Amino acid sequence: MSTLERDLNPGDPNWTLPAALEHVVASRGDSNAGFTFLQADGSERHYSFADILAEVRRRGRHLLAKGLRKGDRVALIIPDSEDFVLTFLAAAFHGIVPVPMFPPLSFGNLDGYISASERTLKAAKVSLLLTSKQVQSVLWSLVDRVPQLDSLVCVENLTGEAKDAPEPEVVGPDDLAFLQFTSGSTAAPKGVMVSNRTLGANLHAIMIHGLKIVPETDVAVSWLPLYHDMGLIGFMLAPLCWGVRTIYIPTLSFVKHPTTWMETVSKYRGTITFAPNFAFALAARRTNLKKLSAIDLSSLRVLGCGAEPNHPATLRAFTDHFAPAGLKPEALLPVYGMAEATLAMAFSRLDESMRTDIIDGELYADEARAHALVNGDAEKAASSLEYVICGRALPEHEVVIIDEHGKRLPDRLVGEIVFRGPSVAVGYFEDPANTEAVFTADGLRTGDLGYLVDGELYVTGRKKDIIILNGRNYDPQTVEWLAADVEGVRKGNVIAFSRPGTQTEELVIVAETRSDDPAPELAQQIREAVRQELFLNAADVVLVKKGSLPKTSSGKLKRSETRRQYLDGQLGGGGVRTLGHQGPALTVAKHLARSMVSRVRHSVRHRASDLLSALRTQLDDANRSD
Amino acid sequence: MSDSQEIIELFKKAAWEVDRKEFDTLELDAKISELGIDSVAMLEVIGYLEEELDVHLPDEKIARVQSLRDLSALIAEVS
Repeated sequence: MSTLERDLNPGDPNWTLPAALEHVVASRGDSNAGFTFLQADGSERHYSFADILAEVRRRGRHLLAKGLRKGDRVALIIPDSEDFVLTFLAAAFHGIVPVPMFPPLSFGNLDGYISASERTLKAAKVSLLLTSKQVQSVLWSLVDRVPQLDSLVCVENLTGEAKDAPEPEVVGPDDLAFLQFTSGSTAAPKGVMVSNRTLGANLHAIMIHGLKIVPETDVAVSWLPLYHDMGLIGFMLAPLCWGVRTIYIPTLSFVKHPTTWMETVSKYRGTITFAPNFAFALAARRTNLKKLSAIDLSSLRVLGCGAEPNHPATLRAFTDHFAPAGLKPEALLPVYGMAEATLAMAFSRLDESMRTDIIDGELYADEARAHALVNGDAEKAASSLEYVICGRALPEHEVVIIDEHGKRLPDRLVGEIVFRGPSVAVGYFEDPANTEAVFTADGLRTGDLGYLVDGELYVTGRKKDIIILNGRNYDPQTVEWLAADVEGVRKGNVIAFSRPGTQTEELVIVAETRSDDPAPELAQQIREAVRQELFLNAADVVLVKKGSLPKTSSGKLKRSETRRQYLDGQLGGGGVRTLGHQGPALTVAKHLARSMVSRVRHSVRHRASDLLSALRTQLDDANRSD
Repeated sequence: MSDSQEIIELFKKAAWEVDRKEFDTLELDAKISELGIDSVAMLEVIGYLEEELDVHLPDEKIARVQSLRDLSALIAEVS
């Protein structure tokens, strides 16, 4: 047992967040560690762990004085990281259950935002909304729309010492630590209940086994939004409970200036940072050679990627791009997790470069079998697919693959991923039907598809048809309903799904039209309807004739079949097809669509090898005609 | 510092660099939400403008920008 484990005793079944924070302050409160919040203007604000605890206690007394008690839910819509961290902990430290919610987006459609927030507040039965002066003006309508919501309080007003705060109750392992709502837009939001016990189990697995953390020397760097599980747990609660120095970049600063991410790792000698796949594309694209020459990534030992499907080409392009800055290929660490498992389920190995598995695409589609293609086979196969390894289940946890009857499948057969162990969350808040369906006696039904090879997991897709764009989840139904409302579209005959883009997932909408000769602006109107409500850009809108979408015998639309036909370029059989509306951008869109289709159908191992295989095909053709 | 026409030209350049979006003409009163640039790309565009003009546009002020005219006014304000 390492000193660390003995000292913090994190595997202790009686672990609680308040006890862990007090322990960190006692052991590391006076060190240089703590949280540093970078500001958008370049300045920084630093809190030692002792500062954090003092401020958490002070704010917590304000919450108690406002009548909040252990088990009550309090919503947080706080864009500023520093205020978010202190307010979240003020609640959780005293057993009040924080419900992190995403703040309104710039340029976003406010009506859509308010409706989504209303649904979350109602589902969580929240009585108090904590926010900041920066955004409060647009949130007041929620107090009228949510009957249970009594008031809205700006954190700037929690000044001085609260009068008449009652003594807080003791927080135990089975008390809830927080409710985690999946981000994005869904008709029926579900709040995952994370207890102190499940949180302790997952943090222990992540920090000790997944990352082999060394609190004295590790430095975490994060721009991840704190209302999202990876930022909240991975980069706030985990470093807090282990006393790891953490540097926070404002999320918007990263999106506006993606180079900031690696520049900050360089400047603060960061050792650990994580992000979803799309961020790797963004950062590589925007960091030019001049900026690159000023970056030193030799300190970085863990560059984690998770939370959305990992694209081998994007990740390779990133490590290649930043190799001249000293980025070690073995730093790249693909992981797998979801909010229902508290956070992490599987970690790949710390000491090796990204590994992928190349399998036969036909056998995957026809038999759900992941047949490995070795060396020469990939060229011979009609199609191949490449998946990034997600590693092994965390210790004391298990990942199994099951078929649709719940039967356990052997290696290299594709089925639903089921996760078991102490990190599995308690269930969905006041939602017994969904809880029963997902949190089963046999384990957590993830709804994701994948296969195992010698205990190592490959995630291949989503059974649940969720569309993940820029790290946020969208129900396809939400997009489909919006598109179906457009005049000229056949109601109930729209399908939305994502396709692999060149850098991240992209949204595709396929709609049957009422007329065989639809108005030329119809596709544009569908785009507009989706953009107005969800602020999402469809990469492609395909109009097809009546009755051409694949359906089951009972008339239900087959989403995955539609997606497959789309990717194969066979959709609609001669239907009306549009590839974009932006005139000059049409060529680009066509090009992207084509290269995407070929990447899926053929080998996706290397950008360069696409060119090689194209050349090879030409040569073969030439030889044959000789 | 920069007049509105310059901002429009720079915006076009940014939209192309960041999102491969091409605009023949752009009116000053064009609604940014109707330009077909998604929220992440739009923030990248803002970041591009900040780098090119060497200014910082505060988030809370960006949230109130609806049109290119608003954007131009905000840039003039912080320049």
